[in-house]
Amino acid sequence: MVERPKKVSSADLQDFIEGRLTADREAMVSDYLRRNPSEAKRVDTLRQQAARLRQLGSTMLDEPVPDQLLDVLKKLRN
Amino acid sequence: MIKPPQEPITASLADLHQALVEELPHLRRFAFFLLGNRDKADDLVQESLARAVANVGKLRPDSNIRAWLFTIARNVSRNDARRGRRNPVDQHPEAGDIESVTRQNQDATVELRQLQTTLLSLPLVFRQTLYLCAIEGMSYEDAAAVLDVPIGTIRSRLARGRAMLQQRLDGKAPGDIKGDSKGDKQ
Repeated sequence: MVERPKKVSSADLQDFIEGRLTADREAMVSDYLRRNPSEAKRVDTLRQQAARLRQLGSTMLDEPVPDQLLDVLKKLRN
Repeated sequence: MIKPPQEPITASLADLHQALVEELPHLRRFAFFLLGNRDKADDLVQESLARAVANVGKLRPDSNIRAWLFTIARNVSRNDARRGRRNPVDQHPEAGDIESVTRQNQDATVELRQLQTTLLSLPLVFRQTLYLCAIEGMSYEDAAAVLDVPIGTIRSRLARGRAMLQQRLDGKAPGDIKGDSKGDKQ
């Protein structure tokens, strides 16, 4: 019996770009992309964009928060 | 029937205070990517926090605090924009602002600066969605709650936002891309 090709939806491709697929579906999409080079090129470009976007604003997460902002929250404790 | 003793309110408020303090860097970053200007962003954060403190009773134990804070900030920002204050479509973020928010090394400097400038040039609905899902890594569900739209809208804005961002990075669309202009006015 011939195994039916598993369908890769546009939602799968999007979640692949976003890094939100489970390991088995990710493997399935990778396999699909190996057989579809033009689609693979588009997806790869967006995956690279996704990786770079994750770096934006990184400094802001490490810098100290200004006192005037912390002061607003102090009202909760009083 | 004997009710279980409630946790002392002071203890839970202290926990809540700590949880909110820990969220502040993320809230400041969200505000920056809404407004493209650090001073305006901290003004927005300050006002949003005041509102959060006043409405803390509405926060449920199972609430996602980050999504709750972002929702407040987004609402404050939207109301400000309607009144012409702190316009969230700041098309010309200052270079100093850009440099101060993203860690840079020699190889990545030009690329990341260009990416950040280009992201900040996108219409608000796409920028917000890209920020929440692509930078903050929020679930589609939480992003949908913050922006008060269906999950399908988050997915389509994310896809279109990424495509638009890439087109602008590739220099294929120097002008404004025909887009979701209806949604921009929110």
